[in-house]
Amino acid sequence: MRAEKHGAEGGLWPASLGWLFVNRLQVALYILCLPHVLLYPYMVWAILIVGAASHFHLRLLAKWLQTEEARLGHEGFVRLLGEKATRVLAVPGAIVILLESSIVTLDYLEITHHVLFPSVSKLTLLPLMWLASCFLAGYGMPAAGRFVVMAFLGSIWIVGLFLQFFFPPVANYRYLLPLFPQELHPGTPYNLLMLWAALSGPQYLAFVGHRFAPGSGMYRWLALGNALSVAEYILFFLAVTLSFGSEYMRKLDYPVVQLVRYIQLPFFERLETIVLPVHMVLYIFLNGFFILFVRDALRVAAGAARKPQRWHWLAAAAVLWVAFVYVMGRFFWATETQHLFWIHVHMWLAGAMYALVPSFLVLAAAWRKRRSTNR
Amino acid sequence: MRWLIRLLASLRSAPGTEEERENAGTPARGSDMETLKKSFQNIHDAEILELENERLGKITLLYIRSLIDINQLQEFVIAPLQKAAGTDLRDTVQAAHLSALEGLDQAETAAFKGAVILHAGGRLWGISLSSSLSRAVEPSKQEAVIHGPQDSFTEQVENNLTLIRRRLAVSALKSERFQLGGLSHTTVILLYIENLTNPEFVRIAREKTVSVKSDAFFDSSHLSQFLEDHIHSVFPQFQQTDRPDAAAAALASGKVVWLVENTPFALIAPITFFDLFQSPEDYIHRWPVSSFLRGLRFFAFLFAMVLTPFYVAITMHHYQMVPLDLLFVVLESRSEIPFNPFWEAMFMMLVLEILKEASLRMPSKSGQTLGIVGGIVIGQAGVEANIASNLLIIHVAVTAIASFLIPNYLMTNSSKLIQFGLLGLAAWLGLWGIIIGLIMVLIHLNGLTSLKQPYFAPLTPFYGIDWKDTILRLPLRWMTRRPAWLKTLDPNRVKSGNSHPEPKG
Repeated sequence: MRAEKHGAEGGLWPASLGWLFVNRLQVALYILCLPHVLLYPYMVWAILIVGAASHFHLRLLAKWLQTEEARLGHEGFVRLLGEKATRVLAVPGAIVILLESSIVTLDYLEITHHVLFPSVSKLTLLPLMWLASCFLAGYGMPAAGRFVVMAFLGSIWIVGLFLQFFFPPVANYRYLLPLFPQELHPGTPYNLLMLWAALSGPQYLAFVGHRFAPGSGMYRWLALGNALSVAEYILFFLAVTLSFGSEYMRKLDYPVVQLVRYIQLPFFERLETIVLPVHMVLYIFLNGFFILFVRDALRVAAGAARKPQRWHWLAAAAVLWVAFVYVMGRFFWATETQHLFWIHVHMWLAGAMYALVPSFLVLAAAWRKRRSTNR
Repeated sequence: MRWLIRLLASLRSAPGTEEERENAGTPARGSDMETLKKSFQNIHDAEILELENERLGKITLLYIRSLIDINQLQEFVIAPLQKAAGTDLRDTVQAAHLSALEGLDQAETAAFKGAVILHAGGRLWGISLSSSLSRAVEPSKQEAVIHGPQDSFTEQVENNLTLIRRRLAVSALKSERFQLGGLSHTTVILLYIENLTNPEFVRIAREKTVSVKSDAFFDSSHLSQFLEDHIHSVFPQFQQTDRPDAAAAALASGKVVWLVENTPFALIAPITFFDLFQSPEDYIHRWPVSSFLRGLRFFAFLFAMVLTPFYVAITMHHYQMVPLDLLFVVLESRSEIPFNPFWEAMFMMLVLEILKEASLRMPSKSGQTLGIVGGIVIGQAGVEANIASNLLIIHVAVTAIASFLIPNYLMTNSSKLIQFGLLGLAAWLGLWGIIIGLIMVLIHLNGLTSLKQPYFAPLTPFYGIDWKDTILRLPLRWMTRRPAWLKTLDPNRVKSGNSHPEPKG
């Protein structure tokens, strides 16, 4: 079993758990807000279509992960792009990661502030999230990678809470109509872009390919993760649509969170008070991962990638991360308009990165291979 | 001709070759013995005896009277020497533990370990005749089981080794002896099974043991704190057991065991978080019962950590979570309490910890009285005086009982500390605070290692095959392989061994 061969030490995590990475990276960002954007029941087909596109796109990622360059890590990128280009590209790479990470974190803090702590500033919760993320990053990439299992187990059970909304009397199946529209609403391209951005995330695996154990079966694991994400998005979207219908959903801020409020247990109600904090495990996993990416990007940019690992790179990345989030949250996320602006930025950025990174790397690897064969 | 006969006789009777005999021990000078005698001055029970032997010449015996068995000394050493039975010391003294000593330091240490030092023929010899001060092998008090083996380790390291060797009667069970502590000279024995235990574990264990620097070790816990990978963690990274069957089972599964002199506890590593919730009785019950009990222990661990902080979070931040009927009960219970739930819970938890600590230090009969006074009188009086609510008393009591379900004492104490941390977070940020606290605990467990191996295996990293014996305990006959995370040289437990009956006669 691959998991047993590569699962423990030596900075490796099992390739067969690659599906967990794909799945958790894909659902962390948009699972709470996507139904509100998609709105119309026929958008379920859009989830399937974009999911299929992502499915095929992952083939490119799997292809890249099988290349010699991916396996070599930093040295592979140097071989592919050259020393100078690698160092130069590390800077925008770090900025993109910081931007994405900040938007994702602030969006989560915004929801938490809105639902759980309306009287507390959203930035009050930031230090604890930062501490937890740094704590995870402090154990290094192998341990942060292993944490994906905890992120998965800690959050997957939430899906089970929504199953009850598929059955009458809560579920109203008339809300599913029209399942095939007469004409598409004007916001459809925007929705498709958002869906594509929602399924982004696996592109980050391209930079840690050397920590995987890539084999010929890598694609099937990535595809499994993608299929699970698509199933989750459909399940959440259908549960919300069946319960609220498009018209009422339009008026709700976070319909997924609102729906959780309807769950009643003998001892507890208002389960969003538990679900929303539990969802944080994904953000901490993601941010710990991102801080390590920023650390490596800083080292590459400074030309210190081949030198022994020092703690001050991690400290610099952690401080940079929290400064970025704080400044954005404090000065550029004050109004709802700014909030929407940043969501748009994230959507374009994540969508573009997901489309471009694997394609670019595969093309570059193929070009290099061709050039070396011609010689 | 007599000298030739004598020589042939000595060659016949003595163990080892002539070359070995020549190399046995470094020749000692007369001044060495004088130095040794000086270092034993002002020790009232140190005795020096000088004998004149016809064949061996002048023999000096040096020993600490309180450390040796005087009868054995008389019977196996003094009497044969007076009779002048053999031509060589090994022929004369038929003691099993006769060994040549390399120098003064070794001689001094040996004397204080219960050996008689002999200076004969220009050499120093040691005969181990330590008096057996050990208590008898008794049932384990810390890990008591109703069914199953009832023996446990004692303070005598050699006896403990015997208890393990009786269970694993194979030559592959290797034991390496170390002496640690500049003052205590504590004997530590490292045990592992060759061709089974991952050699990397043995190498790390050996290196860690050799690199321990301290002047005295009186307990296995002291040693474990020098061997741990993460010294600031609240979680124990070594399993301590006083049960020989548990130590033997650990060795058979591919782990490494340390036996420490003067300690009835063996250290086991590498371990996982899940190992600390296992009891030897798990393998005695039927598998569904064992699985249920194990599940209950994990639940109790989580319950003990979270229940009181959860109460504080609900009553301070999330009243809306409580159904209306239950909310009335909570409000009525708290209506007369002048403190906020955090201080109320903090006070009661501290009282509980004081009671627990006091009951451990007091004699057992007084301990019962303390339980009654603490549990009933203080609890009842606390409620009547409006210091604590009924509901909180129930929470604290349930927490205390739940914490006793964890079989590992060190783990029980770890959960206490986490509980106080979660209590603070619950008071500050409610359930959000508790959950971020728990996530941090998970991150810590995910990053911990025991003997450089992942502590949270088989969960992270994930080993599906090892889940047969983690929270569930599936039938033993299904456990044909050793834990995969231990990366043993021989992964199969089941061998086509000689399971046929022994022949009669």
